[in-house]
Amino acid sequence: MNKSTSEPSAILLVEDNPDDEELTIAALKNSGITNRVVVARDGREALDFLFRQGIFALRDITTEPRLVLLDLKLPTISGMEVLMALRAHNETRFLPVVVLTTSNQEEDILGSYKLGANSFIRKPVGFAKFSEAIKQLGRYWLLLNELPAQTSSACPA
Amino acid sequence: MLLQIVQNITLITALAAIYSIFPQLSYKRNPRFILANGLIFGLVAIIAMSMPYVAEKGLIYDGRSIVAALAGIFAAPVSALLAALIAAVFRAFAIGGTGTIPGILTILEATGIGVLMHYWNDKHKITLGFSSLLFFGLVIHLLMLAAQLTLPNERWRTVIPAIAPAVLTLYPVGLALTGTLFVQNKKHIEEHFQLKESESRYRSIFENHHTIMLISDPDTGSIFDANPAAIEFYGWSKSQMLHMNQSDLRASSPESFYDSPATGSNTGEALNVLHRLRSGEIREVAVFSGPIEYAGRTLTFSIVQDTTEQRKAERLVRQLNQTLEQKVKDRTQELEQANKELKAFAYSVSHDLRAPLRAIEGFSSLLRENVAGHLDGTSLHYLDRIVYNSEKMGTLIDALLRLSRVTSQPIVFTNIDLSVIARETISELQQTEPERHVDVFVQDGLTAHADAALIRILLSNLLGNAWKFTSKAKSASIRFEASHSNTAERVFVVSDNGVGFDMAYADKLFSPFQRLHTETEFPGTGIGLSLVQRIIIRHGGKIWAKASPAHGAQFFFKLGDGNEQVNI
Repeated sequence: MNKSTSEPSAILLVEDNPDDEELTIAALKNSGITNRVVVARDGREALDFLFRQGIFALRDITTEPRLVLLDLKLPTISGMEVLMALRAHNETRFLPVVVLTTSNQEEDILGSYKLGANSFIRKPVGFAKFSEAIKQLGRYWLLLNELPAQTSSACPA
Repeated sequence: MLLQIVQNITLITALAAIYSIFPQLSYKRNPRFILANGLIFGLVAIIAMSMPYVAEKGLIYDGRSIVAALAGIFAAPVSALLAALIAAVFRAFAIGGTGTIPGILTILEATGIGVLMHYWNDKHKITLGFSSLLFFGLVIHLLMLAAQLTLPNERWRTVIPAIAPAVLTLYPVGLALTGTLFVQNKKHIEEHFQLKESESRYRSIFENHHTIMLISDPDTGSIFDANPAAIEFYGWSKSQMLHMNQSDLRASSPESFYDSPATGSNTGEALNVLHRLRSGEIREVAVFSGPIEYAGRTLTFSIVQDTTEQRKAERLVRQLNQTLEQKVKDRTQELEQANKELKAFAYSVSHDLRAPLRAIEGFSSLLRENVAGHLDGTSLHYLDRIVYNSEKMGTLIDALLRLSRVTSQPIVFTNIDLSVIARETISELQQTEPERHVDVFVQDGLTAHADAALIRILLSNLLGNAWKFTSKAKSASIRFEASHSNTAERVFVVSDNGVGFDMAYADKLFSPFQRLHTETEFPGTGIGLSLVQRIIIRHGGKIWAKASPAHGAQFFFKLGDGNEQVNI
């Protein structure tokens, strides 16, 4: 699936619920998406990972994310705060972020778009529907969508 | 002769003097005074006849005609008749002689004309002047001369020429002069009595009215007079009060706006002050003051109103209002808190309840995939039921959330076209089941002042129901129309020829999660019509239904006037 190994290709899944984590990974597998999936279990971990700090200070270049699947309701730092932080940062401001959450509250949808989310998807209850949604978003954001070169953290902005 | 006539007239003038000494003689109208009046006039007539000009024995001339006329004009008619009777009797029996008949006739005609003048004057309410009195004097005395025609042996031929010059000049002038004096006198007397009467009327109001009244000096504030109501209220005796000053009544007030000039203002506006009673009790009073003329001075007349109870009641009302306001504030706060909690609850349901549900459904699905080949039909069926019910529960949670949102989201009124929304809804329904053929009629131009988003939910539920419940009909038909008047009273109708329902269950129609059909017959959450009802209520409208089993259903609704938004 990767165009080249030097390009970022990982998926950062920010999800605190282990069941949801497992189901999302299963859905990605079902959809034939083979990209490496890195999981952050709260907002703190997500930011540490993205900005190579804390336990992720020395992380592998192959884990460079091409897509963030972001849950909103997270312990410590919330999904919205993560979104705000990464949009404020030069290296991550164009990184595609798909909000993937159980909520469909208007304020969550509006808030996410206001903070620069690229997409908002509500996780359906049915696994079949969920798998279909994951398949479509994977195809779109990982294969179809073009990104500017600056998105890469390898190129300092 | 002239001397005697002048003497007579002087006598009559004395009568006027008597009248001015005893003013009530001419003013009061009770039987005692009427009698006294008659006697006085009669007596004066007798005196007049006692010092006459004697033409010959039994033929005398005097001022009796003037006295009789004056009695007629100025005294009560009864008094005049009494005086006439006395004079006539005296003339007939005490004097007698040849002149008796013309003498009595003179008395009668003078009295009669006087009484006529009296009535004429009463009726027209005019002040008799000198000239009119002079004219009547002439008439009376011409008649007096005429009365001389009754003298025997044509004595009049000599008598009339002898007395005529005096009778036609001095007598009328004497009558006019004396009469004018009477008129003036009477006027003064009447004024005097009116003044006295009005004074006593006001005095009576002052003394007897239960309102507290004070008269005081506008400069010094010292009290000139206090009525019994004031004495009773303040508790001081009258003599004590008359030695006091209005400022002595004042109790110093902690509220500075109560402090104002001691005697109050003359503007007619109430001055709210505190007055201390002799007992030491302090009362709130309103003092209304105005100027009053009293013994040639301008004093201040004050009416004092005890407003203590009234003020107490006012303060109580104010206090109650404040309490009420606080209560409303508290309740509003509680309500806001409850709404906030409800919102948080809804959010929690949306987020937290769905997560485990997704796990159940997701892992069941994965399990089914993994073990499908190793399981028997019954076990697979069980897994299917787990998946189906998890999804069903997800749908119910979503429906519940929609219901809470319809209730809590703010309502925005705009002019909308329900016909357009209805057609869009129908075309969406058609897309979900392209193979179905439904005969749809939507009336054009059904506009209303309403919330667009809520009306879309409303029509999507009503038309969605119609679509669903006609699915088994041979030739399905759905109509959306309205009565013609474009007002708040306009009734919209969504009707179909579907399965309908038994009206016995009509009261359950709009309750959440109430269904009149089984899930296998017609799937649904049972939330649609309660959504519809909440939307209608929020618009201040009304909804009702008519149906019968197998003969379709009609849903009628009104949207209200769009001005009053209802929170539920």
